[in-house]
Amino acid sequence: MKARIVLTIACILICLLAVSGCASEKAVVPVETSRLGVMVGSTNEKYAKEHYPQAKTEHFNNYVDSTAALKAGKLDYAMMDYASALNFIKYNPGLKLASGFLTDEKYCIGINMKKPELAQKISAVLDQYLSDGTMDEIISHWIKEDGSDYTFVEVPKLADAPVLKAATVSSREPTAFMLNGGYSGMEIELIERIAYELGYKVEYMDMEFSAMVSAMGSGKADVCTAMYNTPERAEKILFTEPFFPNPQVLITNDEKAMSDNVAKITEFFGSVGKSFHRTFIVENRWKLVFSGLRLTVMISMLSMFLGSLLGVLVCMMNRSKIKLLTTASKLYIRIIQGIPIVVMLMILYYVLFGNVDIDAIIVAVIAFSLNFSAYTSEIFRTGMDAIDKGQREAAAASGFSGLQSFFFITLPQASRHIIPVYKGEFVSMVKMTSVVGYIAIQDLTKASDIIRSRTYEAFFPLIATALIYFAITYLFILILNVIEHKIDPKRKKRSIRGVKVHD
Amino acid sequence: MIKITGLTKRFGDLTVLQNVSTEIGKGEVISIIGPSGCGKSTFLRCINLLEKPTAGEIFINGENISDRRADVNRLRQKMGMVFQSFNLYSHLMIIENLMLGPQKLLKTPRQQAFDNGMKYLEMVGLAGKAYSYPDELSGGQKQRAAIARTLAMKPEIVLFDEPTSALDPTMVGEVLAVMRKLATEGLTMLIVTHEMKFARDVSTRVLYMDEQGIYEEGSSEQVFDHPQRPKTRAFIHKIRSFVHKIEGKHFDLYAFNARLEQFLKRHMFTEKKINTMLLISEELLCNILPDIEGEYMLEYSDETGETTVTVSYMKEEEENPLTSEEHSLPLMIIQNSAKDVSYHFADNKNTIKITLEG
Repeated sequence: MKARIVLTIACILICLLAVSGCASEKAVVPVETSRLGVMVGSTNEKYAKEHYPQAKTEHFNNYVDSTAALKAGKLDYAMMDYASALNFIKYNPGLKLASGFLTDEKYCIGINMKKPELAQKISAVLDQYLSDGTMDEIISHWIKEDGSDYTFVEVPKLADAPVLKAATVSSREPTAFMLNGGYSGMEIELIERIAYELGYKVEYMDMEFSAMVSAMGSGKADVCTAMYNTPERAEKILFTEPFFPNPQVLITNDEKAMSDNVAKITEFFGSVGKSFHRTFIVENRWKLVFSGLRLTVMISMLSMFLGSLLGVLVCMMNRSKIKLLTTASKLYIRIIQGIPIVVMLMILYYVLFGNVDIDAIIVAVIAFSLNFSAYTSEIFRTGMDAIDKGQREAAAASGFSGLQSFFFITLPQASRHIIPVYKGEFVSMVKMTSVVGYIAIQDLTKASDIIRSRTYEAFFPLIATALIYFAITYLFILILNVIEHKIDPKRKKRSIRGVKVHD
Repeated sequence: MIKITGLTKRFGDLTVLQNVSTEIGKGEVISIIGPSGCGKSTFLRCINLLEKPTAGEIFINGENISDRRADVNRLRQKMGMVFQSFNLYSHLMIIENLMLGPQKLLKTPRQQAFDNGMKYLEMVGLAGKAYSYPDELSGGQKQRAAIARTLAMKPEIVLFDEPTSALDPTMVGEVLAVMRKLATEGLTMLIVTHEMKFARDVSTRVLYMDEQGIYEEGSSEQVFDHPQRPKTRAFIHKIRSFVHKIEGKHFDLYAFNARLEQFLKRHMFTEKKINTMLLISEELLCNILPDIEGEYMLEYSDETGETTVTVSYMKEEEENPLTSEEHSLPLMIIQNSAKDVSYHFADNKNTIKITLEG
């Protein structure tokens, strides 16, 4: 049985690799009519729209994904900044530069509109770095044309200082990336140095590039570590002088370096151990996974708890005799159930709590509690409706109050109807928490994204993440199963505890 | 013990009870009878406030429970109720059903609640089912368990709301037997029922309800044997007599038999007597008077214990089928069980009357 499952999985993998391999064997395609990968919210997205209107553009959240798609043969070209391109080529011998510099963009530091003094102070430090050669030194630590290793410099940090909230995208090696569980790269070194000089300590908010502008606009972040200055963005963000020229380029697959499929497959099976090592062991990446898992579990558990409590409240409103409460609860359920959780999460974070200094994790817990309560209240309601009115009436007739009757009669019976459905709803909630990356929380999914951005490998981290999700949901189901069995009267022992039986 | 004054209950525009007043003394066994929809059950449910009376007052031992400030839950503990649909707590074993109330409400210690529970289960003959769940019991057993549960609360009065209406005819007897026993032991009972023979036997007082109130009341003999008011008379007559129209060639013997058997069972005729009745009726309708168009009526009297079967049909000339030679065999069968068989003719109406001993 086990052998058959392994065999089946292996067959599927071989087919997948074969298909992806076939698709990549293509003749050189002109950029104008190609399949072109761009990043959402970036300047290359805009550039591609203006210069290659005929091209079929695919929009990605980060360059790791677009590069993975390029390697898999789903794209002909990927467009990205020069520094990232150099980096991807360094780790992927099968890729090459396909163009010269297409734009003349330069990285600037972005500062929150509402903090002009902060902008002035940061600009002053940056100007000094630009003139005294410090900036060139920083750049030389990270941008290595020859593909050699980075130069790490210990930047002094202040332990007890006001916080500078810096929005960054940690999938931009070599300018910003995760290393040994911390942030590294050129942007990071620069902002750390500036923060030290100005007497701040930096707190990072790791987010998708597309979320950075709204994070700055809503005041969630004080600065963003690197961004091109465009007229559109300049309306919402204050920019410093440019500190690093980083134009857009195209990369593509190097046909000559393409290995054949059979080699790929053998490489795959031989490399599971290596993949595991790369994904979890190198740079202590398991710590990242572990802290992500902890956040996922924490958000899920808190949301389950609060969501259930709120669900009880909504359910009580729904069953009340006061028409206003009933209508309000029905409206609440319809609205919450009608909004995708990602959208609700972002509305809460960027709009409702936009100007409030609140931890993103709390926002996530609120969003998932609201969402969970809408579903659980309906589960509770159907559970209670399943109990016949007669038993409640009998309880009332023998003198039980409404509350006593609920706890002694209705609840024990209703929970038997509730738990099976509740289990499913909870599991679906745990899985839904994988979207919290949208509001800069490094949960399990985000952790695997970050690892993928470092290992340039999609298969192993994704499968591993899937297994971890499966494991935690399964564990929870086991716990609920125990409870379910406990409250099933037919499984109870046919005796009364704590009494002596006389013959 | 219980005093009800001016009780009125309306559901929207529909008035079910209008200004009902009565008193119930300790140890009384009161049956409430009347046509369906006359408000018998509503009256019972108003007494323990499962239905909120629109107006009127209810006193228990001098305490006004319809008062806003009254502790309804505490007063309800003194009034047990047995429902038509049993309403046992389905997630608890029978003994737990009996222990829950005393433990949680009367604060009886666990051991004592258990011992008492077992005592009451023994009393209703269900000690062997203490560890069963309600859905493992038959209807009759469920209702006996429900009665035991009510008794476990040591109530001063028990309200029975059609306790046998949801039961199979074969199970009615066991429940009535338990109730009979309770009545003889001096429990105060208020019973809404359709079991007339039972009501007649156990009641110290009978309330006939109609026209939104207590239409007539009195002892069993008064109400059942000498009803004074027209509606009571009609009701008592109706519950005592079985009428079936005979439609000539289309007469459906099987439907007739089924209806007659049901009627006889409800009035506690024995199996043997039911068979005799069915046999006599069949001989009469199929062999002696085939294809007639008329009416069949069966009446019984509690006083004399006699049952009479009367078949009447229209025919212009007087012709006594009882004297006919060809009917001698079926006639012999009838006469075998009957006390008297007679033929009567008046105004083109032929009548055959058979009288049987009780």
